[in-house]
Amino acid sequence: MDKKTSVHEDIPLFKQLEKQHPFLLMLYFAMVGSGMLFLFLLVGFTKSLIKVDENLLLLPKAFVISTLLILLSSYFVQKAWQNFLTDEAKSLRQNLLYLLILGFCFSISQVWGWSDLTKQGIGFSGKAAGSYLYVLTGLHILHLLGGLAFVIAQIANYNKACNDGVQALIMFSNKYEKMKMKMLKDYWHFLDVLWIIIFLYLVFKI
Amino acid sequence: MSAVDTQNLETQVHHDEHHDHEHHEQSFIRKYIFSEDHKVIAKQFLITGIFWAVIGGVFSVIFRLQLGFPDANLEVLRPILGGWITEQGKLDQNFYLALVTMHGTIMVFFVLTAGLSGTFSNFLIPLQIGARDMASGFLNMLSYWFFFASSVVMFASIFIQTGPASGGWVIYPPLSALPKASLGSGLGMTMWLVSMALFIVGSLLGSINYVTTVINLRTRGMSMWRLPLTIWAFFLTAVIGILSFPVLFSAALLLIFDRSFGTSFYLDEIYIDGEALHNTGGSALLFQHLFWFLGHPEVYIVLLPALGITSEIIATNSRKPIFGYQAMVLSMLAITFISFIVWAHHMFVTGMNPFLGSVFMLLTLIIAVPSAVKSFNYITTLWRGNIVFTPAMLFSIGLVSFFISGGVTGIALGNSAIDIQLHDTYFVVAHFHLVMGSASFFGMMAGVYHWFPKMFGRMMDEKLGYVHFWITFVGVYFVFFPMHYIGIAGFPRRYYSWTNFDAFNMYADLNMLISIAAIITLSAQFIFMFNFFYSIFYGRLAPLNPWRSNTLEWTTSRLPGHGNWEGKIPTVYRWPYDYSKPGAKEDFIPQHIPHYETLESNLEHEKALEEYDKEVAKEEEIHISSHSH
Ligand code: HEM
Ligand SMILES: [Cu+2]
Repeated sequence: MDKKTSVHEDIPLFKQLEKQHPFLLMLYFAMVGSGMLFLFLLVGFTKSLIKVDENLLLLPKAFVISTLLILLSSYFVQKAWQNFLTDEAKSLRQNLLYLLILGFCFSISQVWGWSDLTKQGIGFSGKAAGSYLYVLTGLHILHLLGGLAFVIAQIANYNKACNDGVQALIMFSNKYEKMKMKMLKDYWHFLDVLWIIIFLYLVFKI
Repeated sequence: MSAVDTQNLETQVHHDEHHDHEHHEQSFIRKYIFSEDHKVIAKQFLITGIFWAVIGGVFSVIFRLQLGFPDANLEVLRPILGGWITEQGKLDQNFYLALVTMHGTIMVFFVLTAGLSGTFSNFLIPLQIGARDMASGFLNMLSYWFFFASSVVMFASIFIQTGPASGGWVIYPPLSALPKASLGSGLGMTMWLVSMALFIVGSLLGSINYVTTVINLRTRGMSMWRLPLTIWAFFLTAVIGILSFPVLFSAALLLIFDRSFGTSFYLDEIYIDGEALHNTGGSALLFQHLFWFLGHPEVYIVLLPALGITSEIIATNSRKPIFGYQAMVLSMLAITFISFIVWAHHMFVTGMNPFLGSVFMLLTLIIAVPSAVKSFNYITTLWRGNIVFTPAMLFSIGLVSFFISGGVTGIALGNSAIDIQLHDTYFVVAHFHLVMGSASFFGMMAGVYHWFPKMFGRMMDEKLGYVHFWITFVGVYFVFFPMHYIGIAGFPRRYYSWTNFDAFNMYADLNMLISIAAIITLSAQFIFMFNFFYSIFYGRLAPLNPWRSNTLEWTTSRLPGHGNWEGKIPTVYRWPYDYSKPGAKEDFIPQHIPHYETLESNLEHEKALEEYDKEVAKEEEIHISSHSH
């Protein structure tokens, strides 16, 4: 029968998406865009490997540590999300604080990885394959710094709630606040997954 | 009630509240400059786009002077071009390349991407889906200001001593990667890259907003299958943008590193004056892949909005339902998808494996199928319609003409065996100027003529519109059709001069003809500009629904304010193409008219909707009364 007839008939994917808050959707689309950026850098990296010796590149140990750090941070952001759902202002703030610290440590560890690379003789302006490592990690750190700014804003936000029961009640029952927390959680998992993919790819390719 | 309906109600409540806050006066700056109103932002995009179109158009005429009249003395241009006119009164050769490059960049990105999508996605999405504004007015405003900043940088690059970028709009390395390689590879190239980076950010902000708005903020009853085709087109354009512009960003970023930080992403074993550069391990070809992975979808970013606008205008002015609504949507979806897997047809001559070439050839030819479906549907919509020849309608029909005559040569070029001969000749120039340049430009013009009354509350002059159309339409064919012959003869694009090749001398007259036609066509655009700016202030006041059209924007007041509808947002009860429905009182039934008010024209399967619509309307009543303060 003709599609025009029924109002209910709609495209299932859209039905799902429609229920989300617009800002959340915008974040998802932005993540898709970022994903494309990294995907094609990985393609370029793969192509550049043809032109280097097999064992020229060594994966810095620091990258392994970073991986552990970011996995741990994802755990804390998930816990913070749980705290939000169960109205626990104090542990929520606590977990976000851990998240913040881990995020900073991750960035430092990545930069430490760069100095490892340089010591190995893989400079930023050396062979193209090596330069990709800097660009991939550098762009990832930039994305992560954006996330950290968001974390700091959220911590400041929950400080109020921690000292005032009424404030907390208002905050935890507010749909918009919930959406913000969900944005933070999803974005952080995105950063996590993104790094894991890059890391695994490097492990297998180098 | 379904979940979708509740959601729509919620957004509506939200928006109604929002509306109540809007009554206080806004300052001039918030209202017209840093505005978050999608209609104002759309006009900002339009005016900036027109500004760029003039610059891009004038550039093309300057280099056409060189091609058409290679012996002419261009001393008269010295007041404008200064040192770029040599002592002998000739156009500087470096500047010729810069002009070509800037022309391409400006037209593709600044006019036909920002000027077209920026204007009409912004203006029409909220108005046609029944929303108060975009999902995020703030990001929408940022999107324009990123574009503005990018424009400022690009504009400034025109005036620097070494001239703007000159490596072609595709800026292939190594030419663009080595600042010493040519005049335009220096500061001009740096500014080009900075400008494009800003442009991409702005464009992404816009696209994300458009997609979200279409998904999230449709008014009640506006299911995806009741969206006007304009909205489908803008929606898919934005999806393409989100997927492809980040890739151009990565290409530009790596190029910036190569130029300024000594990396070798695109450089490998290059010798300058017999001396080897230190760069090793990169691949110049990689850039082409990255560029065309954006570049081909980009041609559809440019074209799809024009096709959407045309669908709407042709249906309205043929007084007929669009032929094959679903086929139109599905072919746009197909185009969106296929446009991502054909990019290497721009690279047949890069030494790619012939087998790979044949794969891309097949994929390229497949894209002709949805394109042809759309062409047929336009023609069948026009067929035996009660056609009203408004200027907008003429421009839309012009688009169909260009889309076909330029698309046919695309099918030819898609065959690698033919393309190897014709690549980088004027044949390609003819192909894409017809199918993309002129078609999209005509779509944009059609849109301006059609929605001018909604934008400015006044009518444009029709007679001037007709004059503008006929000169431009004939002019475009005179400019681009002969290029096919010159191209088949082998004349390469982006060459300053061909007088040294005896073989091309017989084409001197043809080149002169093209140049004269180009000058006339450009001049005709000033008729449009006069009409446009004059009518903003002195045009006849527009009636509420001048084209007797079905879509929601015509249910607003003559000049809608922030929030679009003074009262509540209309509910939608039908698709937008109920034109000349048998039995109906008028030859159009707007989308907000419920079926129980059109008993005389309801089709058999619409009888069920009579009851349904009544219930929806009742719910809406309750909704209003519980929210009136
Ligand atoms: C039937 C569909 C089409 C086919 C099969 C097709 C095929 C091609 C091919 C094979 C080329 C490469 C020619 C060469 O460089 O040697 C090309 C160039 C081009 N096409 Fe198309 N095309 C089609 C439609 C379009 C459309 C709809 C647009 C724009 C909206 C477009 C815009 C362009 C542009 C801009 C170029 C030249 C890019 C450059 O090198 O600067 N084409 N087309
Ligand atoms: Cu293409």
